[in-house]
Amino acid sequence: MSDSPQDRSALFRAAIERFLQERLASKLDKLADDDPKRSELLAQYAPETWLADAARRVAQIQTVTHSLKPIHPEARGTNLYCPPESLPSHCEVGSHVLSADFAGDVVGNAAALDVYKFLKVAVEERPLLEWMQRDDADLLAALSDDQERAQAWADAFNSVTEPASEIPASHGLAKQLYWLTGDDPANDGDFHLLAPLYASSFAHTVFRTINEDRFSEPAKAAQKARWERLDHNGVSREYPDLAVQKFGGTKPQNISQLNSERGGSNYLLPSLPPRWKNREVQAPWYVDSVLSRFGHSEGVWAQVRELRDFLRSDPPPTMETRDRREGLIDSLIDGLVDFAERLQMTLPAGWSRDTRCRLPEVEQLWLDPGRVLENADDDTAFCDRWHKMDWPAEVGSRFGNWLNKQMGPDLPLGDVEVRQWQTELLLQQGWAQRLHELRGQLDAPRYIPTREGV
Amino acid sequence: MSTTLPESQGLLVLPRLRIQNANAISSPLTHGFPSMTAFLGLMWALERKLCANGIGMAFDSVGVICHHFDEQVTQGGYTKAFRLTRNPVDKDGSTAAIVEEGRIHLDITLVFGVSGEMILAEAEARKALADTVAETLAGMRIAGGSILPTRGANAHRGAELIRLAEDPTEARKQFRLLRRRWLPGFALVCRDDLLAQRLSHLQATAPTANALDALLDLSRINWRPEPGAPSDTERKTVEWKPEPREGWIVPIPVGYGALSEVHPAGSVKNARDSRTDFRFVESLYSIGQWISPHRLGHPRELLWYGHSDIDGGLYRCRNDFAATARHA
Amino acid sequence: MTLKTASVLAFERKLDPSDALFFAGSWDDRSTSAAWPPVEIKVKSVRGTISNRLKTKDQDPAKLDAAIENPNLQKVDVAALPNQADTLKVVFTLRVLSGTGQPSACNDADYQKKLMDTVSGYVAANGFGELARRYASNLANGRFLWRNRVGAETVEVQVAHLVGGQARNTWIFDALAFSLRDFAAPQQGATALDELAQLIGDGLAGKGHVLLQVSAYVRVGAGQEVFPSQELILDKARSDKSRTLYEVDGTAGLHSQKVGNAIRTIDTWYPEVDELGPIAVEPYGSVTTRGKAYRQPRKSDDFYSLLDNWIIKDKVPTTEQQHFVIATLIRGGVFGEAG
Repeated sequence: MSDSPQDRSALFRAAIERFLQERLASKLDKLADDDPKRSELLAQYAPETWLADAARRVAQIQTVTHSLKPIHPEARGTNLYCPPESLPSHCEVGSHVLSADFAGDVVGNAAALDVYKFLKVAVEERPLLEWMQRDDADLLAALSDDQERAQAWADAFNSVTEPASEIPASHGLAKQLYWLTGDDPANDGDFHLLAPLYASSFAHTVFRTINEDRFSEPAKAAQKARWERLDHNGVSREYPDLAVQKFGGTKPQNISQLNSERGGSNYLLPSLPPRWKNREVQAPWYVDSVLSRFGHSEGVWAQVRELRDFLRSDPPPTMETRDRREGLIDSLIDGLVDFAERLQMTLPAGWSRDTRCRLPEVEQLWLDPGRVLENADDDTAFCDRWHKMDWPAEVGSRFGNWLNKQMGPDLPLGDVEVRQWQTELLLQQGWAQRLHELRGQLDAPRYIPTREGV
Repeated sequence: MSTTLPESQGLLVLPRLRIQNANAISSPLTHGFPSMTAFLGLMWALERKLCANGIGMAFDSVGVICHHFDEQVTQGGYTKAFRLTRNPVDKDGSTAAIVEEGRIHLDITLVFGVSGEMILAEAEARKALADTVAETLAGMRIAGGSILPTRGANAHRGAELIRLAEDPTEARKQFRLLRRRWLPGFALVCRDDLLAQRLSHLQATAPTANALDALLDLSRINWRPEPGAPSDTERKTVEWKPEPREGWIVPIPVGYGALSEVHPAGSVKNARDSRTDFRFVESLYSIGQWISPHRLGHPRELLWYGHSDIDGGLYRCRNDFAATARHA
Repeated sequence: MTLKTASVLAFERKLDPSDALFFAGSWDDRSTSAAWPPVEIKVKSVRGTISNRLKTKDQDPAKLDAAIENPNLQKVDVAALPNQADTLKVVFTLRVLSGTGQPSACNDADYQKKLMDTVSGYVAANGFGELARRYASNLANGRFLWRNRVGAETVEVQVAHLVGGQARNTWIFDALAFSLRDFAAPQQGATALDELAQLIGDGLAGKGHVLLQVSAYVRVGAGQEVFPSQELILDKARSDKSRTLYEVDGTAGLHSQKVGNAIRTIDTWYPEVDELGPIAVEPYGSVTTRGKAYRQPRKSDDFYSLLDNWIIKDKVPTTEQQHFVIATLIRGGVFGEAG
């Protein structure tokens, strides 16, 4: 800041006048040369007049970081200006992580937005508002020769970050939720009422980042290279299941300035659970056991390896070792039940009668209980064998053999078959009953549970 | 309230609840599953309601397993829009302002960590109590959605109040049988650790990277060409690969951060009541993971609990999966 | 101290219907309708014809010809019964909850007390009999079927009272024997209607939370079109269809709001009732399909005026208008004074 006060003051004055001239010119352009409104406008845009009016109108708007209207367009109440550095720091993600050049928002009367634009006029790379907040003497001198008046205007402009009313207010249509801060939910005094506001500056950063990743030139170049399978020095970023929420309908400006700049769109990232697809899982055709397929299903291979590595490490014969070993086997059997349930619930009843099915009957009995529920006249032998319940133990024995094979000859797991396989396969837990309901009830979900890409 | 999971003597399991028209927009940044804050709120409301009916049972924590979901969004296109129902008209006959309320139908199992004397009661009494809780819950809203009646022979067959075994081996067996019944499905657990990990990873090359960058980085698919692609002049295609992910991880809202001081009860205009201290807040986010229940080693890996740090301006839903799971 | 309306005042709905789902089958197989397949939604391409009023700039004859020669191909959702099924089954559940008049949010204790005393006074004097009878009629008459009721040969409504997942009682109604214009019951349905009304009244009064399963069988004819709810998509660019119908996991259905709207179509206490018949209970008597509100603040017969008069000014409305006010509380909503 080597400039003398006079020079700096002139700099401010010039910036203010330039702003006013531009606005005036755009208004005059719309008028005919002999329109009597011309002289009116000229008077309005005389700096002293405009500033006095702006200092009055600034009360109609508020610069904010957090606003209420996106919560409900008809809610009225406190909006807040909380720059990131003023917020407590947390490990979680929130407005506090934004950098100092965050985008401020404006709410209030759209007719007073020009005042906000004025406050954003940059001098020495900082907006006028910031110089006002710093009580910059040169700026004050530029506003008016009358020191008192300049100070009064600056005070008025500074109040643009403050809520319209000193009394904080929420609204019946605003979100207000009870949060237990004490120990006893039955005690009214153990709660705080939390009123979430919409983090507009934060949302703007998210919006800009995602759009940058979708539409910027480097992003488009990377997408193109990806589609054409060409080498490329960059990354292509994809946001699957991104949803767009709209604020303000056809009039996004009624919500806020930044909302208007976003075209009323708010991006929502998916917290969706893994997708269950509404299509058939592949039936295990032409294989003589489903166990090899199970071995290749998600995560199972890693568990098998973990078990083998653990046993190979020759752990001491302690209780802990036993628990660990049992736990790993339990987990594998759980996975097996999960795997089987997908086939049981997905494939049409009687699928195992298909000539392409080469599974031994014991696996058919296990994986195609629909045949039993159908109880067809020509299928009584199958149904009888199912009800005899010899097959769960056989499934267990097959599983034991399979697992032993995975472990290798030196690591026998003799006790797997000894388990209560009826219990293991959930046959005592109303499992068949539940399956029956799922199939028999038309209002039951008709989705077909297959897991995609987990 | 502590920063670790409260010890519970029992689990109250409400299996396969069908919820219709729950709120799919869980925060200003996320959609697709209700926020855990909604489940904590439900838990507190449920305890109050039961208490008012003379049933004293402390609800310490809540876990959720999702078996099925049907989010009401448009199909196709890069971004999804919500399918809405029409709003009633206003007093002048014009359509009332539309507030976009995304809807989702859910099949979920709720598991509450509970304490109290009744957990020591005989099986029959516990079953009756579990049924009462299920009946009470049926008249409440879960994340704004209605609970549909379970059909079939016995509507409350599933509701169960389980006394947790004290012997570790017994407890392990007991939990194993329990988690089986939650298949097929996915349990939501918290992975704050993955967010911190990604942040330090990003900061290694971009020192100014912040936690939001890390969150977004974990919420998208980053495609890169396979390294070591041939660089000869002949034009050859290259495989682009998505960055590998550690399981099914998703951004989730995890609570609220303060924007104001605590306003004393009665000092805020149009507050919901004049007897409760009031605070303006914003949603806070972290990373969650959907895992198959058979990957859970202990109930505490599933359960979420509330934690408040009033001075620090933090109201959090916490879950100790990352701290306790053996692969963490 | 003068009483003021609470600035935050909200009520949860006490009649909570589920979405209604559509299934298809044969009239004669109603007893095995649990096995009926769902009605699915299909996408159909239609040629849009030029029927909308053209903008002035488009009235150039050459342009009009071009537009007519190139009708835009539109995709719309449709739902119909299969060719071998003549009957539509519509199923939903209805929960009847107690606690009418108990706000879910109210920030003025004095107001809340006065309000609850007032509602108790209404219940002591009238019970929920009149309202419950009207709600029951709207189940019996099949009003919740909306357009699907029009032109049906026969409509049978079965209402089951579910307790512990079992039907404790089931009532069967010949829906077309009931009028949509009034709430008089035909002779052969009168007893059943009384019993159902009694049960709904008990649910509202809190003698036990009541759960009903409603199944309607609508004989419309094989292959006929049926009418699920239409969905609203704000950003049309996000959908390639000009009409999207509601479905749940591949089953066509009516939104729960639509079902709820039909059940609370009991307001016959507004001025133009002779012309229109019952309308849905809404604070301003608004009717979406007509784009009009039939209870206007300037006539002081809207919910807010009536409620304020009753609670604040002790000007007790007529019994009919009291019914309307209580029915609005049962409907639920955010009614605070904050503005």
